[in-house]
Amino acid sequence: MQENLQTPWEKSRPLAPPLSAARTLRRTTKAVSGWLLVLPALAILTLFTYGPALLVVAMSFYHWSLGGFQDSQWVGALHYQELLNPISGFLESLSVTFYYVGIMVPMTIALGLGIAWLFRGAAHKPTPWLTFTRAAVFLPYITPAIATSIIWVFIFNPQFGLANAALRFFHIPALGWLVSSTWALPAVMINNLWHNLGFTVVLFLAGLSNIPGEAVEAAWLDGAGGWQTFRYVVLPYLSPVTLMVVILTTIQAMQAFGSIYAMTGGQFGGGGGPLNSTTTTAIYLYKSAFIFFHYGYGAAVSVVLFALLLLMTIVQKQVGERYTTYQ
Amino acid sequence: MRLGQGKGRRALRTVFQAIVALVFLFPFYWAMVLSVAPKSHVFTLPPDLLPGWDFHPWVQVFQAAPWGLYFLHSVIITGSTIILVLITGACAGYALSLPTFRGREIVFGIFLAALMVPPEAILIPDYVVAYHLHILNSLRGQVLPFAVNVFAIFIFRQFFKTLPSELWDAAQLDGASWWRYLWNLALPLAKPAVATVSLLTFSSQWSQFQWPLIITQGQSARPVEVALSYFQGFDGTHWRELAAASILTLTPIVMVFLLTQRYFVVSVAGRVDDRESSAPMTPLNR
Repeated sequence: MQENLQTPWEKSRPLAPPLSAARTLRRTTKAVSGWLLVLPALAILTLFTYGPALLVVAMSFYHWSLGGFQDSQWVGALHYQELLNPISGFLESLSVTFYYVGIMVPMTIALGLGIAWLFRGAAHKPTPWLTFTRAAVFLPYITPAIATSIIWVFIFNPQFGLANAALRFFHIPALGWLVSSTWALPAVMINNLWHNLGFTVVLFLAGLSNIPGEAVEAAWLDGAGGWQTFRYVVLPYLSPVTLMVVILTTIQAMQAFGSIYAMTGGQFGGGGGPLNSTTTTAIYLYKSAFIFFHYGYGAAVSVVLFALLLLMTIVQKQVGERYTTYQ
Repeated sequence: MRLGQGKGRRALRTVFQAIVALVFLFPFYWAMVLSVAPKSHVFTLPPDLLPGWDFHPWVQVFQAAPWGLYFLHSVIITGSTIILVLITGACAGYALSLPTFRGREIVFGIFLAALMVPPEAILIPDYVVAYHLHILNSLRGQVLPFAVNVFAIFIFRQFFKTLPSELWDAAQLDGASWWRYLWNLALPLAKPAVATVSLLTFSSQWSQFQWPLIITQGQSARPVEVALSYFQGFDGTHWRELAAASILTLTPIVMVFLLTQRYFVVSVAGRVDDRESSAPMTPLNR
């Protein structure tokens, strides 16, 4: 479609007569205009994304002072050695993060797919009831995590919270939740599952609506049961969406900050308690740089986090492509 | 889809749908209840799901902090970010859709690379950049880093590519420059793209927390979310006031969502089919 936009003189340039001044001008404008149009975007991205992505690597080798390179002291790989030292708590934060991600990803997929399956329906004309109930599920996702996490702090209050009231109702002993180093992270998980599931559900709903009705009907006619149809027809169609959900949930989970901060008393020393049990790498990074002001050390943490996210995305893509069925 | 038909199963499904919807809505309800519950009813066991009315906490909240100022900050930050994202996105997206733009493949690749950089990983160097630009503790400092969104660029590019080439040919015959074509013809047609980008930018900026937390000190540039967090720090034991403050913060985004709900959900899911960028626009980074 785009090729016919090319003016004839561009194609036959060598044989064409010399261009007139006006044409030369127009050609130059055309060539330059593209660059002019992308310039603002490229400039801002250079300042706040590409530049910092390089700077963070450089910073990690310095005892960084805000004044800049001339005020900072080169320390070589010292920060990376500290990361590996168990006393620094970085490895612990990694294991907290992996625990968190390892539970969040499968839970998000199972619940997201289940809820999407429950709310499936005609793609383009859902009933008012479906529109309403789907909106209810999606609503938490657009709310600021800080505000809703405060509500969850009430719910998880060990003495007067609803969570323990519900447990007591079922005669299960009450839990400490946010004051317990075992249950604080699960409480955060419940909050974030509630908060982010709507997004996954929308993705799965879109995936479900892309499945041609004939495929399901054919399976139905061939005598496949509900489960068989789901397993052998629906799931393969959903594999690209599922791969995307895995990648996005991993990234989201590794960067969770506001909810943990609000639920674990971030205002008092950066959060992540009790006993570092909710100190994910994102919280650890924040505290290193903005509570303890070790910018260089925080930069080293950032580099490792960066590499880890990149590696996980690539691995998931590679593994995923193998098991993904594209139409 | 034929699965799960029959009257009984359909009724069962409706019941489950109602339960799930209630579970998701409950925390909002609970916050509202807490904010208007009489003091004696907050700490009762079992919790009282329908206590009486007492609007005292709401009065207290407004007396405790200059919320009007914080809201003004948030509105200015969100509004100007939306405008800037639209400008940078439409311009760059248009350029990337131009067949005459040599090097658009390279530029496209460069933009794509920006998506590989997790915001968390560049938090600290961004702070250093902001420090040297003297935009710490300012509203500008909360707008500039978010003035470009690569997904917005892709959305605009995708849209401009769907415009028929005859439109451009006709505009050229009439002697219009690319700038007039963009401004008078293409952009007015791009209203759906403009709406999508505005909505997603609104929701991500309104929920912004970590960056403003880091770069603002004192009240002069503090947005609502950070103010709420400080309020939680000072008044963590005052449940009713805290619940009222949370609702206050939630209200604008919830209103926008309810008004544009259909469109919102489509915007988020819209990128599923686009293999090129392979990820939907995640409006929120937190």
